[in-house]
Amino acid sequence: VKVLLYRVDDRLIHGQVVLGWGRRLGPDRLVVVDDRIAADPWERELLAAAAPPEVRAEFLTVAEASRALSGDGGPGAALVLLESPAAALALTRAGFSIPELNLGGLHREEGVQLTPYLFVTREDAGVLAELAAAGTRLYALDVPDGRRLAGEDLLRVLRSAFDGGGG
Amino acid sequence: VVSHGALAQGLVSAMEKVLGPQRGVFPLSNSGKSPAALEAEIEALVTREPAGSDVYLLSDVQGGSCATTCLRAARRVGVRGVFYGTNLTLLLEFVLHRDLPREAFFEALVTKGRNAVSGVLLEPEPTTPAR
Repeated sequence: VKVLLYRVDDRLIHGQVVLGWGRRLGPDRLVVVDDRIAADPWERELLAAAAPPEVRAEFLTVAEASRALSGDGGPGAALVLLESPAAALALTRAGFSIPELNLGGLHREEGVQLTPYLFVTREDAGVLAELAAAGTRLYALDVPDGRRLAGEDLLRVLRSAFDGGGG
Repeated sequence: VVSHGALAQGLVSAMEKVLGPQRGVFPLSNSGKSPAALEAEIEALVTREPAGSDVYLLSDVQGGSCATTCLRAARRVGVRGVFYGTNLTLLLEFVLHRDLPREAFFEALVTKGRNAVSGVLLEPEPTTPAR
């Protein structure tokens, strides 16, 4: 499967993904990787209804996604959607290394706000550091034409957010 | 009324400019909130209403995170309906037709809201050549 974007977004399939990224990248498939949702028919139907008719919504467990993304995975180009950094790390631990990860929407009541759409807890920051150490290039960007915060700049912001007892 | 950004607040404010202050109409924004936090806010508002009240959720774009969250909340607490694509006309009709039977109420709102979207194409004015 050709993956156009790996994205962490707690809203999964929604306007920014369908209109913002979808219109720009033109995927054939939206692949949600989440053990809980993959096992919940009601939630699958709800999210599938948010996908445009010409794009297929698919729901895979972490184990299924690791196999599909490592192997052939079928035809078409996909956006891969994950609910949290922890889900991305689970995919990495299951044997699939994400080359580049878009942090597009993470809202935490108890987290530190890095951008208007990105709140992280100390635990999220640790997971993101682990992903970066495993070779995943991280960047924060909500919509394609937004302001991108990437690489060392992003890691520095993450580190400084939790220095001195913050978070 | 549940929306992205300040739309819900703006719609309720505009509706009250036309009809005056209204009971039981509340704007909610998803700004800076996780889907779970927005869902909890919706549920708190719904469960605050007296038992047996008919509660409706008016969301913005169909397939957007607000509409999806409304559907999740509606499944957990007693809600009589969820609308998508809410515009000012739909909200005005909502307030004006609260006494209608449920099916007629739903039909009136969707029809009026949909028919409110229109416009007119205009020809550009001929411009005066620069001297």
